[in-house]
Amino acid sequence: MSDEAGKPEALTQVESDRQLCLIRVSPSGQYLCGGTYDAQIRCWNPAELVAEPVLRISGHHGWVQWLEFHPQEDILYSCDTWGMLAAWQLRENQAELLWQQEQAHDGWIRSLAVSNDGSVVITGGRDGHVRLWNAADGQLLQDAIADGQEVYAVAVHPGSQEFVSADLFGVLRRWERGQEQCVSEVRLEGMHLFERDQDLGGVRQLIFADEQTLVCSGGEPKQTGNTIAVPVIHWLSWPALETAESLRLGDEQQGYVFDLCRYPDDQWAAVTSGQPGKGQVMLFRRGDEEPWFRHTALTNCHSITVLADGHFVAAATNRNSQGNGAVRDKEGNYLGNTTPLQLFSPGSAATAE
Amino acid sequence: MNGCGGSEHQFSRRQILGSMAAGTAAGGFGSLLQHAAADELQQANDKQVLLIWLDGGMSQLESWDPKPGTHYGGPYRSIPTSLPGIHVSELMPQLAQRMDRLAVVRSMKTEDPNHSSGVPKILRGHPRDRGVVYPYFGAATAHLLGPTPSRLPPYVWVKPGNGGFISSHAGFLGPKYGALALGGGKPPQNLQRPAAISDELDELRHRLRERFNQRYAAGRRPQVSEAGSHVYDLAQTLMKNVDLFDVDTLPAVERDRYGRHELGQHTLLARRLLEAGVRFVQVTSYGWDTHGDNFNAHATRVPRVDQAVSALLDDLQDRGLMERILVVVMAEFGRTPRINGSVGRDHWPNAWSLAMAGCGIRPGVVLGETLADGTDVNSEAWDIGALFHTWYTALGINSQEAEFMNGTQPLPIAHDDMQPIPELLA
Amino acid sequence: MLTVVSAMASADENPLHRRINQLLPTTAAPADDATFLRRVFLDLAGRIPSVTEAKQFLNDTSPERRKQLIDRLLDSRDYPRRMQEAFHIMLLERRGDHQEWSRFLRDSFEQNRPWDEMVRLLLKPAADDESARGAAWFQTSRLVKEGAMADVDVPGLTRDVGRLLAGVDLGCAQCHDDLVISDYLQQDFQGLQMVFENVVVRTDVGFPAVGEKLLTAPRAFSSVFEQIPRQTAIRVPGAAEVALQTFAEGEEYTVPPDRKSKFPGEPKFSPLQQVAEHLTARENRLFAANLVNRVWFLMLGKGLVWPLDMHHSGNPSQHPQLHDLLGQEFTAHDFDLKWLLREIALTDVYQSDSTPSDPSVPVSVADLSEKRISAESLFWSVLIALEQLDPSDTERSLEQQLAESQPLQELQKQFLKVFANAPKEPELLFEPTVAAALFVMHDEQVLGLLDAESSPLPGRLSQLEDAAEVVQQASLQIYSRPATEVETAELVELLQTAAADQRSETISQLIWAMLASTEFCVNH
Repeated sequence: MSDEAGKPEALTQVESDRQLCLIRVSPSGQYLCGGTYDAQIRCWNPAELVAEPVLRISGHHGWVQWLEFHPQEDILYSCDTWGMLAAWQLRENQAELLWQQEQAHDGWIRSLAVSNDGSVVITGGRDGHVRLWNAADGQLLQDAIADGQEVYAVAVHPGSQEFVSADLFGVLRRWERGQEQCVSEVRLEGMHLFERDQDLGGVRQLIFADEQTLVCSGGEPKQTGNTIAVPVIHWLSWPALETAESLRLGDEQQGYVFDLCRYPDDQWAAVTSGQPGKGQVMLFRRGDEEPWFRHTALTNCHSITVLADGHFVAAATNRNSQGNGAVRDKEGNYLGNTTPLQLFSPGSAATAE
Repeated sequence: MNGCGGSEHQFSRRQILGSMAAGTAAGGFGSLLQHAAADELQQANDKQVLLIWLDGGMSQLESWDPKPGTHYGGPYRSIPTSLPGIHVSELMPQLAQRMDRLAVVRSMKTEDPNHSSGVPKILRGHPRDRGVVYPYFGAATAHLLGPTPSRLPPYVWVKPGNGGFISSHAGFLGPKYGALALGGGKPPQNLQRPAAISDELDELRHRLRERFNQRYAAGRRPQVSEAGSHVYDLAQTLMKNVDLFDVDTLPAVERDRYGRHELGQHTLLARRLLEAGVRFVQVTSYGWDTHGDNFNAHATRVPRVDQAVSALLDDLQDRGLMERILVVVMAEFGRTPRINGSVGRDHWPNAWSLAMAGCGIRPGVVLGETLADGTDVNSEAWDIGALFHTWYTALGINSQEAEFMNGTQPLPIAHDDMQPIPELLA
Repeated sequence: MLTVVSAMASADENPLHRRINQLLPTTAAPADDATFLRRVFLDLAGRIPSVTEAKQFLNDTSPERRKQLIDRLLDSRDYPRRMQEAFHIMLLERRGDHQEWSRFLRDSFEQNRPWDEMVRLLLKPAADDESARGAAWFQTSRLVKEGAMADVDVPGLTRDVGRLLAGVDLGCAQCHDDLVISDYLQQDFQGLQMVFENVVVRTDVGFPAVGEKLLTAPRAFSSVFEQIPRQTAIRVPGAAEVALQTFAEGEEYTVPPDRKSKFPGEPKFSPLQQVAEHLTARENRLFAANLVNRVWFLMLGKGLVWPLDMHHSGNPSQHPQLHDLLGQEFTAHDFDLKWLLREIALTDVYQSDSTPSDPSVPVSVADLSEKRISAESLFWSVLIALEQLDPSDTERSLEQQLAESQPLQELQKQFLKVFANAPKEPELLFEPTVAAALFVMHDEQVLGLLDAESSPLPGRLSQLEDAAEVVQQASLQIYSRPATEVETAELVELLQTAAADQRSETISQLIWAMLASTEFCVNH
């Protein structure tokens, strides 16, 4: 990191011809991995970013919704919308399947996280379950039932035996290892909307900033049909689950925070996606009233991941991705959408005088 | 384009009829000429219709025509159904078990990708454009089959939001055939008599009104007087059936079965209206225009359709009503295979699905197919006009012979280049 | 000018209504005075008469009394209001109102602006004439986006110009020659639509106004059937093709466009001006034929050509000779609407009984049909019948009286909501609805008007001791006619047998039943 304040600059951009749900960088920095809408994991070398992936991993089904790396090793944990959970060792542009659970959940696994020590993987699914897995061998450690409601996000507490989940209705649940019932729950008003026979859930991600702070991101939905929501991040006290601070990242056209991650120097990086052509890449600190960096050239951004040196990559959607009827090329082929991957140089906020 | 295309024009007979009629008829309420045959049809016909309208467009890929594990297939799995070899989306487990009672068309191909013009086109069966405003399915059926002996209004529309009397659905048939809309499933406005009017006074005022009307009608042509009295009779019929409109009085277990949501409760209300003798009920569910967040939206929406329609099919079967009630579940189009940046799907008339069951329909049919990636129809494609022919035929109406009269102009009841689809008919 | 004067002179010797009588001998009996009274009030004043007005006429023994009443109504302050309401419904078809548009209509009927001048203003609005500029609303109200997806409905405006101003519905000729009507050609639609495609709604002024872009090229089109390229210049229903005039670059405008103020400019060659002139030209037979047909419909309850917008050789007038005469005379009288209404009101057929001599025989051209009463006229009539408004108040018009009562204004909104058609639906025939029936049966405000303690008419009638007098007054008040002997006998018995504490309630219900009856709700 440079000591001088400076805004990140957009460097290389490459395009994945298949849309990606989420991207993550391996601890070694060798692999930038993304889960696609068609059951693949694609891996690129961030140091030499070109369109052609260095590795494609198949074996999943549906969408590869979420993936996370082991904190120290290039072991990738991935889950999909048909209920499969898997662990892969990445080495020399090859992937070795370490273990897999074909039916870790009944259907869509919405979220996955790895404990700070790398020993536990947590998943939450549409089936209303929160499950803990032994990261080494994939054995089920605990099955918690979150009232049968769709679980949208999960995280493992860094310093205790506790873990947390959030559901479609904006309810946060605090769990303790070995206990069947959740220890406490709290509802985040504004992160759920029921309208025209539809439940819209705004909680998309949970991350422990430290042992006392849980960060919850997503949006405050305002309307069904289109993506109308105010992107929001809440900092909550742990274990009380009281909202200490909130940051709203834009107007209701900007939609949801789709992805959030730590950025060097106690900062955060987030991306949003809302109405077509809306959504941004942002960097900020807790306490900021306004992100100090906003990048608006990429739109409908779905994921962001940070390299060790402060470079970061955002995954977005091509422009003009929306349209009624069939969009075809000159040969008459039906055209789908793509995911541009944009590499940024590091940046840092100007420090207050 | 206005869809006035085609090359074969079978209008000569109509032209002759039209000019003959022009020679004798003049305006007046009596210009809503009905054929003698239509009267006979109405006497004998006990068929009824329930149309479940998923306004905005349900995704065929997240319902009737799943393409799991393909480029545009989306996140969901498909599940086997009671029809061997046929799968539907995992979001409709109950309907999957009842597929042997349904007929599904997977090869719908229609013209209009816009809601504002697409909704009326589909609901009118997209007839050839003759510069006249065709009635919606409900108004048309109300006109063709008339009210049942219940004397209840023939066309009732159960919908969220405001209610009222929606004459625009009737097109050239005239406001008489418009929809009685029960907004929020609530009874029509002004249905409750204020307490200040006692039974005796109410009886007195209507007796007087009828007496005055009788005297006015003496020696006159009947149409105007009949119309003037008819609406009061209808109003009083509605009042007598006021309990019909209140599903709150039903047992909780029954309400739970349909689902405690708008679509569930409105479908339950529809079943009651049909049982009471309403000819055509449309239930509308809004909010299907999922340009954003399509998959989360369908995750909460489709299971509600699954629950409500399954409960309805069971009830109609238990009551022996499947033989005479036609159930149709559809929207103005489906949704695009490609997934946009808002994780939504857009409007897609090119290859979509709809479902039907009951009266005159062959059960357990899945007609047509789409390409493996869902991006086009891969079999004979069907326009909504052919479906209207099919439905009218199922209801015992000869869709290629029966005509509407627009003043003195005879008009086909469904697109004159199209025909019923035999595979769908029992 | 001289020929017009001589035509007027001959008309005075043998006025139009007499010539109509000769062409159209009626079979029905003449209407009695009370029937005529109610009918002519509804048609020319847009309301029923007050009891005072009714008595004045029914007690008049002058042989000229009907003619005098017609003239009185045509000169009354009610006449422009009534015509404003009727033409608003006809021309806008419930698309919504605008105060500038109301003002244009009101002023036009107050000063009896000739119909050709009115139509020229509709087609080529005069933005610099403050009292007439609202005529642009005819176009601007149609040049709006409908819903998020639909474009501005230019074909709809084109079609309405043909339908409403020339009586020809060219809607089916948009994409090919009409399949059924041999007179309706695609070139006619295309040649008219090119004019309105060129129209822009002005945003530089705060009132309804239109401008025009330059129109320099003929319209290219082809039939969807034949795909043969064709072209046309401007075509106006009933007139010959109008060639385009072009000017050298830089010379096209009398007033050039101004980007800054968003003024669209005033082209030297104005297609709207061409349509305005050629449509309203005296030689254009369709122009007069359409309007006389519409006024005939307004007065007699049906058009000589029916549907009103289907003038073509395959759908001839029910009485071509009469239709031609009306058109010629209307033209000769410089498109004078008030004159036309007066002449029709003076005919035997207008003054005949609407009860046919034989009800099994369909309505013929020599009959007067029962007519729909507009929501507006019905509202005024109910309030006059119930003595809530007094049309004889010399100080304040009905509208001024209404402006003083918030509850009655609310009631007016409800009336329009339940009795008017939906937007874009022409209001032609008597088509009652259940919504209106339930409104009349149960609306608290409607029922409040029948409360003997708070409302004038029921209050006054319940004070009368003589039951026959109650019946007579109610009949005159509501039906504008004396009660018959049979009616009186029946209702007197009803009132006499009612318990004492039920008498005023019974009178209220009697009033309600009269108002809800078909006799009150149609114009017969």
